[in-house]
Amino acid sequence: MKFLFTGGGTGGHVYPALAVARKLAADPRHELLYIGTRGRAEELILDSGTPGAAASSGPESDAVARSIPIVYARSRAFPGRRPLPLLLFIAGLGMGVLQAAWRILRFRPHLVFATGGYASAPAVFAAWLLRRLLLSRARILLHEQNAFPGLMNRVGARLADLTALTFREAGEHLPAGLTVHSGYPVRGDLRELPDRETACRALDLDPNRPVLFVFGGSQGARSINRALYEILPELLSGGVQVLHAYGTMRSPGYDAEVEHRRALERIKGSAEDGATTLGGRLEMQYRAWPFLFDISGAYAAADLVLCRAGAGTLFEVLNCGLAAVLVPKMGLPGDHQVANARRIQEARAARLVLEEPVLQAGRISEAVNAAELAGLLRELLNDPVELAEMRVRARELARPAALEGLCELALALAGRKDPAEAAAALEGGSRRNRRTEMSPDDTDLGQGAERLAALETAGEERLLSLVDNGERSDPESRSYIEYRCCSALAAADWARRNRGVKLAGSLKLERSLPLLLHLAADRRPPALFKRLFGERSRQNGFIRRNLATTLGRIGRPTPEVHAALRTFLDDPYWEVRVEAMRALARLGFDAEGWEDLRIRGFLKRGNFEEVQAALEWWGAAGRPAQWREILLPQLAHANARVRDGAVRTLIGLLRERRIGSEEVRPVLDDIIVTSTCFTPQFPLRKSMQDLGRAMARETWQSRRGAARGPAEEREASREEDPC
Amino acid sequence: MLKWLARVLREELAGPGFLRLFDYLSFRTVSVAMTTFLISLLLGRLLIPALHRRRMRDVVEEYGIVDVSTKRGTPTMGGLIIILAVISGYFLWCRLDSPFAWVGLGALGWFGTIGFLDDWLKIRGGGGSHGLSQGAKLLLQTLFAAGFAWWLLSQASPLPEDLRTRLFLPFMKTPVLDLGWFYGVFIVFVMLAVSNSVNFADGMDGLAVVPAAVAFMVLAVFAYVIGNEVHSAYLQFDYILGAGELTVLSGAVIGASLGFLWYNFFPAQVFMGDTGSMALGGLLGAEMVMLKQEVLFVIVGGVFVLEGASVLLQEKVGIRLLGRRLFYRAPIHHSFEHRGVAETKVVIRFWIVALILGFIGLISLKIR
Repeated sequence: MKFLFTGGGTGGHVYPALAVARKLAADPRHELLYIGTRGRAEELILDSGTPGAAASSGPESDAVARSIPIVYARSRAFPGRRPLPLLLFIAGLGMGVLQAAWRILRFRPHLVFATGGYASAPAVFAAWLLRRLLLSRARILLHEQNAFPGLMNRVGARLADLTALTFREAGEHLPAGLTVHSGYPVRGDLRELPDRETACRALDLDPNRPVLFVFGGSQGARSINRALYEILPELLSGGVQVLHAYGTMRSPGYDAEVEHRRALERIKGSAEDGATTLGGRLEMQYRAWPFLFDISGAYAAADLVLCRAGAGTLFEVLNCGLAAVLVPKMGLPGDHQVANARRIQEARAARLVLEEPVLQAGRISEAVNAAELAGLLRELLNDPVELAEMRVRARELARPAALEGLCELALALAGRKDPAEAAAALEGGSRRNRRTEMSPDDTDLGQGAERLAALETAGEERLLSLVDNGERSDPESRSYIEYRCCSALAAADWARRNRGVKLAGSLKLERSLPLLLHLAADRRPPALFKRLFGERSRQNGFIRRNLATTLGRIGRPTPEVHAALRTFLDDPYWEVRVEAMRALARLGFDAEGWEDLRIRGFLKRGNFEEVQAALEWWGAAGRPAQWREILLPQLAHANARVRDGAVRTLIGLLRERRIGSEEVRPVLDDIIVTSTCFTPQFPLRKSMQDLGRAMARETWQSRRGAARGPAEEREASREEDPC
Repeated sequence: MLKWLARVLREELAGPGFLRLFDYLSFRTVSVAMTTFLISLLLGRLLIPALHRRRMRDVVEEYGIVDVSTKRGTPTMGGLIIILAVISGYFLWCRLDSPFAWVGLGALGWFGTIGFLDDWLKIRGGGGSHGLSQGAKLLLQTLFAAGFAWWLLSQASPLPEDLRTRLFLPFMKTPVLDLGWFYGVFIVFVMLAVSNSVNFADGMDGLAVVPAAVAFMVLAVFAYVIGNEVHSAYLQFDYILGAGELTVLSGAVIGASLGFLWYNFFPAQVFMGDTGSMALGGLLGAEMVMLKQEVLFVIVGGVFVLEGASVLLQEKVGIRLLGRRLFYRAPIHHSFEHRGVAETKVVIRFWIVALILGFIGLISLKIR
């Protein structure tokens, strides 16, 4: 049989395809071909066998991987809706589809096995088209690795004969089509681990002490590494042994090797008094490599794993039956690592620590809260019972037979078996993908999954309304919403950043203050044409306005916040000045000289919104003794709404007894009471309102009456009728 | 139709001589205005309750939370009154052989249908639907405008050949530019700009209909002059044969608009909806183009230009591009409302401005 494999762009899409391909290649009767995109992970892995291309499974330089021939078709990542890049994308993809179609016509595969990623787009579209044109009989089998399917698979699922899922919940996000829950094809050699004692001895570790294995894929995970260096002394002195694969990443901003060396020196240097002991502990209990060629030894030795939540890593860990603390990488398409990790946490097979954007040397980068991580690791490592339970649940979640299952599925489809039957054979029941369908034993998990998915698919605007209505205030949802808020704050798209700012205000998220202040102080100039319109900062008017509002809502009157709001008072955009005044009024500052001056300035020169806000601000912070000076001109202001605001300020002062009514009486004559604005009163509408209330009341009473019985009803009606 | 009947009566059957009146533009214009006014009064009585019955399901079910001070739930699509009145009234008084009139009515009908679809989708979708998408609306408008431009520049055009692609400016005697084929694009742009800006203006009771009536009034005078050999020569316009029929059509719209205003001023019993504003805008644009007075719209339709420009600047330049507001609110009438000027006051001030702009437009007849 002939199989065409496709998928890629990143290693995460290549490895599952490769695992299945290798297994099928073991049978000499099968012929295999891979279609990818030039210059991407699939080329590195399949063509040259370069080590360390991606993912944790290490270099794929073995003979089998290289023996799978790879050909290329043009494709590019979906660029969003901007017209020009979209046009280029469509043109490029069109070319790619033609190239792939040519390959398919030449190769004549029985099955196209696609693992998603934009590199799989040409082959999938071409296979579908050719079949439509009756030029090919190749079936299409998709595999989705993540809990939140990528764009390609969301589109491709419509065209495929069958979509195999790693997470059953991913089906919720796919269009109608046949899906089967297959699991993730973990490569074969990882399933038989050496026993722990042998593994420990091989690594020169003490098998009687806990072992923590930290890794972040072949490239390494900066945030995990940095947090680890920070908590390493504490871990080591707690007797924990640490295995650390810090990665091969070398980029201008970050070099894993250099940073590793520096961090170790710092650790050695910092513990001067106990230098010997800490140095000794490092020697004894800490093993570090840039890249771990034999990962199975580390898996076997580890009691707890600290790693990313990409599907490949995750299912290796689960398959090895390991307890894990997951640090999903933020900002990936669909935030799929977070989605994966939350599913595993929901099943209580792993714990979750979310990254958050923090300021480091004036730049926003992702980081893990070291204190939180340390606390969690300590708690877990000191709780062998919980660890053991997590291991059991991990094994339950893992589907060790996924590789064989997928191979069987591929063979069955290639052998022209009905996809539904093939899926049923694998799972004992495939499903037409429909949202409502849910078997009874699924319900608990299903509801949990739905709850998780509801937040994940919600846009920031929806989250905003949820928070404002006080819904979803349980700690788990709340921490996820906070994560979304923080990641939106670091977004490149201004509209998302703006919603993040609003969300921070609704959540009253003090943790985000440094980021908010960083945005507020951003003086980088925007694009030229925006500068022509008088825009000065990349944080545009709406963002600055909402920053002012949010700083007020968070209500933390620190000097930095005040400084930020003070600069906002000089903003070129009036709404920013207005909201800054409102925020300052909210934060409640004692009236100092500068404030009084600013208020007077705005009252004299501001537009009517500024005058209104200045009045509010004065009402909150001003000296009542000066009320004549401040309010009298406003009571005769040309704008009726300003006069209204001034009268309301006066009322406020009277209520708080800061001035007496005898003082006010003489000025009443000076207030211009003619008004250009009015609210109409429509008597018929008023009567309709009364009618509605009467109906509601009657309904309520009769419902209560029906519940109580007629005798009581009479009594009740007497009670409730005030007339 | 009456004109034709009068001629038949007079010539074939030797009817009385006063029937000659029916041949005069001025008489037909005033009569058609009165006719459409009466028809729209009558239609209002019939249509408003009917519209209300259709819209009833849209009204808030919980009467306990009815807003006492707003007009939500007022029936819309009142533009149907204008459209029906214009069409039926105009048929009574029109010359049946005038291409100007037929194309004008076509614009009224086509743009009215776009608006009707939009309103219909909005009502059917309840609060969730925003009617036709902006793209669909623009596409449908462009479709008509392109056909219209093609017709106007082709051999079938009623315009004299040397005028077709020439651009005239108000206060200028001679054409300033020969745009060539680009004139077609310009026509499409004018049609889109005019119809959409009238649409934006329709946001308060009576705000769109009176300035539109004023603009039609000015156009009626222009059409009368341009379509009259003597007057056009005297005022140094290029004579366009048969353009006078647009005077009658404008008269029909003025009458229908006033009849509609009867029900529409504050507090409104009926809104014209997109049905009305699109139809009026489409016809206005078409008449402007046919009379070669496109740029005059900037003056005569100054209120609409202001509304359209404020929306465009606020939405496209401000909110989408810069991420800030340029006005308190857009369209600009909401900005005034936000500053504490009541709806009625804003509307009547806009009427005053429209009248003054109308006068300025009229004076451009003489000062050129």
